[in-house]
Amino acid sequence: MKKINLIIFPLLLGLSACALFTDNEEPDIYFPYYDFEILKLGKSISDMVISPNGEFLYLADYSNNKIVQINTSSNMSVSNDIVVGSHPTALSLSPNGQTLGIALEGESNIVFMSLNDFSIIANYSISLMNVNDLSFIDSNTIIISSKTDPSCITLKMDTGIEKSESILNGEFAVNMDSSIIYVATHSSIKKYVKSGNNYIQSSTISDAYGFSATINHFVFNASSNSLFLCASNEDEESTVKHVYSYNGDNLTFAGKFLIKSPGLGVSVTQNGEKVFIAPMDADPMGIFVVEFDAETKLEKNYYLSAGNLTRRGILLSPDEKSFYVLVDTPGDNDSFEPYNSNSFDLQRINIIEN
Amino acid sequence: MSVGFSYAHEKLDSPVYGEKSIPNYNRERTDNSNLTLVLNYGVTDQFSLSGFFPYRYVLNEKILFRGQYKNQYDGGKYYRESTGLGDIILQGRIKLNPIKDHFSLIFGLGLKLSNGNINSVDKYGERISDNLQVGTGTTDPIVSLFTSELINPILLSGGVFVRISNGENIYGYQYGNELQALLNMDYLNHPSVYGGLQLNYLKTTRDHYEYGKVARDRGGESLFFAAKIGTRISTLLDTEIVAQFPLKQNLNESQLISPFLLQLGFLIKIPS
Repeated sequence: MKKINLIIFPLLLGLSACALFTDNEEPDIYFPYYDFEILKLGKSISDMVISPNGEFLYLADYSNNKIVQINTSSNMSVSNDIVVGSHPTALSLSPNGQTLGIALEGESNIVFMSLNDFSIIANYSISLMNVNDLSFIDSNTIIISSKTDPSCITLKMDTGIEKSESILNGEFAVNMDSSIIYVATHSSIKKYVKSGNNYIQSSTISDAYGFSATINHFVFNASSNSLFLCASNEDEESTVKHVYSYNGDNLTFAGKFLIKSPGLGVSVTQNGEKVFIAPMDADPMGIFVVEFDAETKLEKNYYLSAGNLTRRGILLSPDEKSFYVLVDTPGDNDSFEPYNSNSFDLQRINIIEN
Repeated sequence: MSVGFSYAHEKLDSPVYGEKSIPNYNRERTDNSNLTLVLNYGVTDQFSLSGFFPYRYVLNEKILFRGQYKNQYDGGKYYRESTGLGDIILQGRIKLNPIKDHFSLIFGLGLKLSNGNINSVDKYGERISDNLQVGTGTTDPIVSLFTSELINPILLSGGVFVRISNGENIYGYQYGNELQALLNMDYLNHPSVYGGLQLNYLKTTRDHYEYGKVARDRGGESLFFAAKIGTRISTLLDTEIVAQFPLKQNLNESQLISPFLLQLGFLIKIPS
């Protein structure tokens, strides 16, 4: 009997100890881990656009002077590239989605590409230097801004005829029928309304930001008639910690999206309900693209990205089931190639359906 | 009386989420090194006292993103390390023979002390994470049960080790409970060399922080396979090398795992 007890006692003790090993509690998890894809590129990308059917992405490869075509069907892959000129810095897709306008920062030229056969169809010299943005305002006309020249110009794609406009330089956002051009400058947003063949500045100007900003991304959403502004500044004492939205009619302040970081890029669903923001700074857990509810201005979902994000580096797919971000993973920048310190890859992240 | 030394090293550098391998964006890795002095003293033939004195070195390295850590806002390489005497384990063991000459049982009861340092800081003076400290800050009871049977030339053995968490340390951090089960088969055909295989199951429950909040990325279960080779250099000195590999791991959320663990042991028997 004594020996039996000697067996039973430790066994009972062991069994009761086993009861201590059931995890019934779950932590508050604000982000799940979703499997996502990364296409290794190792390039410095300055802008990207997507074809209307979502089949191809076009990236401006700033350091290699190329436009890179990415096939997005099934697995992402590089399907083509072409040298276009010195340092492509901004891209704009024509309204019919068949032509790509390319601004070159390293030379005073604008290049037009046919996306049907991925070839250059026109290359025009312009009077501006240090071009920073461009945007189609109709199927044959593009508006161009420069960092150094105070006024913008328009350029005809078929003839190459240039025309000076009374529009101050900055980042463009254009409404659906191009009747209004919004320009985000270093201190405020200005509105230009089409009148005949010219754009006239509206008396409506947004309140000043309160700091001198570098504009990282500026987007117009037609459904909500809202503008979204990602800006940053170098002054540490007034580092921007939010992404702002403005009413398209009167440029009143329409919302503040708190991300505790300057915004680098923003993408909004066509119905204007979801806002995806790429922040500059990381959270202690990593770098997350933050999905906001446009109505409540509150965070809805967090998406872990594979590295540092970049300006203009976020884009929703047309079906709005996923988005693309340009990511630079620390530690993979070791390269023997001189002057190559940024190596951005392309990451596709599926959007949580809720 | 016997004196043993055991050195174990593992490099945790492969992140998983649950059972799935995931990318390591921060290039994070943790090196765990333990040099443990094991003292064993037989009070009687049936009762012995054991003490485990671990000297630990923990090094965690990663490449931070901008803004990820307030003290190194621009990001870049960052490391945290701690070193020193870890928590000492003291244990009394009683040998039981419920079945005559077979399956002797060794039942152990003891304490893991709270002597290990839990105040290590990084180069900015900020206290590093609890799970990177050499100590835990709590005194926890431990229970073990071990049995063996020699079926010449095979020695079969198995055991269970349980550590029950006993509240939070002064920083409000409570480690989860730990259950470890071992199945061991040693081949003892040669007088001075032996080899063996081992299955090792480890289950830990979630930690808690800030006095009760459930920690993510902690706890889970693992099954390891280990191969070992040992020598009896003399009747008074044994050596053993163990290489351990994970067979299956299912961990809570994302955690770093090690593709292998290497352990080197010496046992010196001191005649009474």
